[in-house]
Amino acid sequence: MRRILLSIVTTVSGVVLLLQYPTSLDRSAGTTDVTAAGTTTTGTTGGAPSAGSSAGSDPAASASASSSGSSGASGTSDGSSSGSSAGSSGGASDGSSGGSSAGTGLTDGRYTASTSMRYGTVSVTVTVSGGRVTAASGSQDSQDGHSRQVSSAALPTLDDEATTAGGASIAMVSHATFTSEAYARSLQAALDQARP
Amino acid sequence: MNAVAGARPDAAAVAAAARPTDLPADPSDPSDGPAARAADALARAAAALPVRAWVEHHMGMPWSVHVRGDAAHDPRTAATVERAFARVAALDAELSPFRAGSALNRLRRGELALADAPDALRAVHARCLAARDATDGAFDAWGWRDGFDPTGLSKGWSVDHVLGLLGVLDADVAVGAGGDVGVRSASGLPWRVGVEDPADRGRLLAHVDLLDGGVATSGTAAHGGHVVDPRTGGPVWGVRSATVVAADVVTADVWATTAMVLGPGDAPARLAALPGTRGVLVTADGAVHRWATP
Repeated sequence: MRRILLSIVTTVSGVVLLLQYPTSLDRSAGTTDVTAAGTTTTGTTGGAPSAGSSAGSDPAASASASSSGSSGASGTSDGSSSGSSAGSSGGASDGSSGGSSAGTGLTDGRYTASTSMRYGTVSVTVTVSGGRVTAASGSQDSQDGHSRQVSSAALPTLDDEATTAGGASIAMVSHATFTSEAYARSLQAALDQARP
Repeated sequence: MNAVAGARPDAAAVAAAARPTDLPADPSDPSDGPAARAADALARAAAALPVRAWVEHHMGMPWSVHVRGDAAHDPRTAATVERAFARVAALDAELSPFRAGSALNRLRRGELALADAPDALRAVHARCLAARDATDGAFDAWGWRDGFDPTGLSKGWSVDHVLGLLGVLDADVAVGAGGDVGVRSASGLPWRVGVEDPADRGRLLAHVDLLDGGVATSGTAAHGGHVVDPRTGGPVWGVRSATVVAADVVTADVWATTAMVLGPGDAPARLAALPGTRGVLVTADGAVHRWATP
């Protein structure tokens, strides 16, 4: 659980830090603002609103342990030094149920990072609700003044080949129907075998 | 990162961070740049979670179930997945066009009234009617083989159904069957779904990140001309591959098939006009069309 928590915290802080690079030492040439609107620490537990899993007919869905972690990415940057901090603390488990917490320990809120680049302002917003990342989106104001909403998962991303950075985290492959015989030679078979 | 808080950052480090190589090569392409890197970071975090995969063969095709999260290696999860596979086998017995005793074939022979048919068959029948209306007849379960044949929709419906059954797991779940993929995310982290390159099955053409929804691909890559135009009765060739991402697998499947029928002239504009969809079309001349419509 700690590994997951850390990986998600690292991701969110990574997203925020991603755009925190000052574009120039001279602030007049480019500004960087990172705002963190996190407000509360929730200590979400396994009973959190995990979509669709509350029916509880399966015992695996009922495990619950309290997690009181407080972590996240926050801070402001003046463009010349890193004011962002990310860390995790707490994460105490009562250990009584032996289950795992569904809470990630992330602090609820919306985290927006924006930066000015030569062609305009780009910002990325990550929303954490109930201790989970519920949305991540980016927007780009182009130089001609038209704001274009570019969801982080909007247009399908073209890949050069299966071994690109994108390919490394691919779980499933969509393809035209093929037979069970053809499956043995498919990318999907390789992906399935990698996750015994 | 560039500096410890409070310390004066090293000028060279800041300059390096600001180097143009960090900037998107093409500002008009959202597949490159900060938003894409944020998506990559989320996908990598998701890929770092514990995950387990199961594969069984049903309906003449491989079914893959991936469970991601702390519950992935829990024996109770395995039992839940096993029950889901058993349900697929039961659905096959009802919906198969190849089994003489299936509810579908009894319906086709007039031995079974629709009102008395199993829930799954009635649900598939209703979705076929809706799909024919929505696509102005381009997707027609009554138009390509003798009588009612919902084979083109049954698989996607079954994937959606199984995904719903696996919703009892407090985990992220992905179900793939013969190229149709349905996913749901409890963690809030996306599933990254690859799209096979119709020109080279060993490679990926593209990928999409998806929290909840379905991805379906129709194409001529695997079975030459397996999609039939109900208006002409002949195979369709103009679109090599159509991948649609939608709220559920049935919707994605219906429109991927429809794209094949509409052909390279009409399909790109028709699909791009569909709310809540995105996807990739490859036409016979190799041109790649992408769209994303909120």
